[in-house]
Amino acid sequence: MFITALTLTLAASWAPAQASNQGAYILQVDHLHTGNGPVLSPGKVLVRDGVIAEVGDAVSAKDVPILELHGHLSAGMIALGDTTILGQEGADATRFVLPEAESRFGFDPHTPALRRLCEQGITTVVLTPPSDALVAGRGLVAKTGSGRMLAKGQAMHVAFDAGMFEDTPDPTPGGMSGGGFFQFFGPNGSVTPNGYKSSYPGAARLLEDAVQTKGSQMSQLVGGGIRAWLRSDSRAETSRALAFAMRHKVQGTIEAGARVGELATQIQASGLGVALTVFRETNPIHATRSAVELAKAGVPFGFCLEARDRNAATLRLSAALCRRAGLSASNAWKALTFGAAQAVGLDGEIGTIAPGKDADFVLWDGDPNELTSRIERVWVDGKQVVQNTQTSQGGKQ
Amino acid sequence: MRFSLLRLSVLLALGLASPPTSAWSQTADASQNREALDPVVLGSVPTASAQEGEEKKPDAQDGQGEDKPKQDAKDGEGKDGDKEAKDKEAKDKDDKEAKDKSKKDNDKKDNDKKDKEEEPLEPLVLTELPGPVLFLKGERVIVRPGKVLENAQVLVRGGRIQNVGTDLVAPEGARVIEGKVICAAFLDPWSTLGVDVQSLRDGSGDASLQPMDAIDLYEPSWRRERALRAGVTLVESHVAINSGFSGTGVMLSTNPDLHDPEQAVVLKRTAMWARLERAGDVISRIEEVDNLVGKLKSGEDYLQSWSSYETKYTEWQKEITELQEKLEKDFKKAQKDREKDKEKADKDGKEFKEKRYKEPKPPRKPRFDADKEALGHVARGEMPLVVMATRAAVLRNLIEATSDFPALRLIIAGGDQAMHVAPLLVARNIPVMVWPADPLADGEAPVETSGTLSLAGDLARAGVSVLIGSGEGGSSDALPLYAALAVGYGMPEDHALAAITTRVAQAFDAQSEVGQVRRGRRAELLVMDGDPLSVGTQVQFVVSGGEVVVEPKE
Repeated sequence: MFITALTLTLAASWAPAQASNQGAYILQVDHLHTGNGPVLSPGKVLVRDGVIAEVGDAVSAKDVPILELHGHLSAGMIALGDTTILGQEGADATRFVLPEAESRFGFDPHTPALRRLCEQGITTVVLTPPSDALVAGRGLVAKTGSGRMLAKGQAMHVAFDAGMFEDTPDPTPGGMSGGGFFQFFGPNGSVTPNGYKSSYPGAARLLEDAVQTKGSQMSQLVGGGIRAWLRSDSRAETSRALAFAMRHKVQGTIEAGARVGELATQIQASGLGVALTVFRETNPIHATRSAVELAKAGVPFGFCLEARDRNAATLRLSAALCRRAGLSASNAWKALTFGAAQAVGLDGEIGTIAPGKDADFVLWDGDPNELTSRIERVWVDGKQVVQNTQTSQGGKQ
Repeated sequence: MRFSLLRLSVLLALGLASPPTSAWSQTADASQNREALDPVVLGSVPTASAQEGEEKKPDAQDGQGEDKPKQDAKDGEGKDGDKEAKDKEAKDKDDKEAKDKSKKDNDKKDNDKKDKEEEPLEPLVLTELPGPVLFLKGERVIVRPGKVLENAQVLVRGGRIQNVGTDLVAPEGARVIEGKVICAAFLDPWSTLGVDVQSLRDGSGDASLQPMDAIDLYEPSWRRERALRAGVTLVESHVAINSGFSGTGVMLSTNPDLHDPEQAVVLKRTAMWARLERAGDVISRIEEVDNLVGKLKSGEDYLQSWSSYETKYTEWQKEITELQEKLEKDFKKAQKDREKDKEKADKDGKEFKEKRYKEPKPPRKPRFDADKEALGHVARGEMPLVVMATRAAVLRNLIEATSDFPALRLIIAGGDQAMHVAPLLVARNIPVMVWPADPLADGEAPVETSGTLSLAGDLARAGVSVLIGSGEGGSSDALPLYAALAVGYGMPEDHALAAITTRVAQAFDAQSEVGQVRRGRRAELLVMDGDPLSVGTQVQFVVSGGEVVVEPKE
């Protein structure tokens, strides 16, 4: 019921599906970390209908209840590039190019993984289709506390990494999996037994065809009509993705591997954001250094998290590792919130505590930058969804 | 029991009984079979393990300082006698310590008391030692979690902490290093660093396994280097993690410049490791626990059979000696008697028969079994047994089934559902080693219960002693971050710091060697620009084995 209602709303009007039954209230805290601005001590925030109406040290409104709390209030964190939450239901491994696919149809807003993210202060998660297709269709952005999907978050997923050649089954009867030739399904849905080789040049050719086919879904990528999520891993793949984006003036996010920092200035020029994975089998030192380089070049970036495989705290650990490599505290925090929102084009909706943005908050018992700080409460769209019961014990003396 | 063991080793040394030849006895330092039984065998540490810093006096052995391992290799045999005596001393001491241990373990009061006794700090006289002399000055010196000295100094000489105090003066020629916070280097109680990957994942190990031969110090060095830079100078590694019994672990230095296992391994025996829950169904899991207990029992019986053999052997020897003495004493008479008898026989024309000499048979020696021997020592509590298990039912079964071994020192590793048996853990004083993530978790053990450091917080609040390791999925260099995260889950800060320093040392019987900034300890120290568990803190200097191995990046 819930999914149907949501998808209908989304499909019909793209209107933001705000929970409208939330009344107005004021949160007053000892320290309010606005995110992109100052820390207000004390600070107040007025929430109306799940949206931040006013922020300041002297916010007041008539007949609005004030909730006084101790601790640090920050915006909710944002996890990028999760391929696990959608699971097999979000995957389509039979077709290599499937721009019409939409992950929201395979999304279960009640999956426990979302709840775990929420408990860790992650209020928004960017989900990517788990398939290894060259074009895997549209991903989605969801609120962890409610499962609400954000209308603007549906980026087209295009793969530039070598992984797409490995797992795609050979569709010819009796064919070997991962064999030399593939039948590709064309950009407009028709089968094109063109016999492109399972190589990057073949795939690149296919992509070029697809974006240049007028009226197709893929053609909307040109000029930023719809946002793209460009998946890459090695530096070579990232530079291919970058070249593709520059060629067609594509807007969106590059999911990149450890060495993306070496391309920081080019990425900055392209206007793309970056989704960075710090915890991989390979040496994380390059990834953490990349974070420093990206911050230096002014590229918006956030961290990827595989929520089903990894503990949600991995996101904060990623930022902590980057700080060791020299990332400043403010930039590390940015990568967890506002930077990640920018990277996926949602900086108008989430990422900071500012008027007009979604009321996604986390209440901490200490500095949000410290791993030792405890999460006490979490709000999503103005609604309190997590309250830690063991707040008064343990922790710091 | 202990006495007889010692006697056995003496017998062995004298060659009266042939020494056992198996993997268990073939320690890397093969000169001494029994040395492997010392709780602490520190590679580059000159003196007997159990000695407290206070009691250390400059003796011949001290002078060898860091060159010890090399010398060992050279004249291994020659020093046996010396070592024997020392071993004996150390063992006697260990006995006492072992008795005290259970009382001491998590008792803060006792620790404080101990501190007070040690308070009058007199410098050790170790002036002749080689190696750099370091003088560390810190605004805060964290002697151990919960005990901080303001504006204090640490003097390092010859690989050891020579003195800690608030009014020390830098000796001439010492390198002076200043910093905000000085604390003991972090210890990872559960790591996969430094061992060959194939051996690590082996599923066919057994109790007698020792990882010395599987140590691979030529693996990509960045792993160890990163750990070192993060302040984790020592890690516990073992192999065959997918086996029922993985054998014993070692404590390894993360200094990537050390390529010789003899130098890199600072503690040759940490604990015996075992793994439960390899089976898929409940009945088999119960069987696994039964197996484990059965093996411990067989080990105990085995050692028992050896000591009773040795008692009988001594008796037999005594008997033989008495017999010999008697024979020697009666020799002349016996000779005369023989001649008389011979003459008589000749006279009678009979054949002369020599008198048969009868000797009592020696007792039968038990068949040597390396696995049982190792298990026996575990059952006797001479080293801890770390059991990897996650399910509450298995943990309960294990704890109840092992209650027949009062000396057994059990440590739980993993323990995802340990909260359900927390009262049992507290009652039996069983620590739990928590790790950040379990990549092997299947559908039965979902991520929400496994792999969260919230367990560390919950257990700590319930009164269980918690250690934090990187485990099989984490990485050692993030160890302090895991500890910090555990605080975020409600673990008291001191406990979290102890979980990667003092409690680790204690668990592996190395508390007199590492884990604290105290006199006589091995110099494993960190100089940092902030709180040890704060994310923004940079480790500026790392001192390991008495040498500065990490300097600030320019």
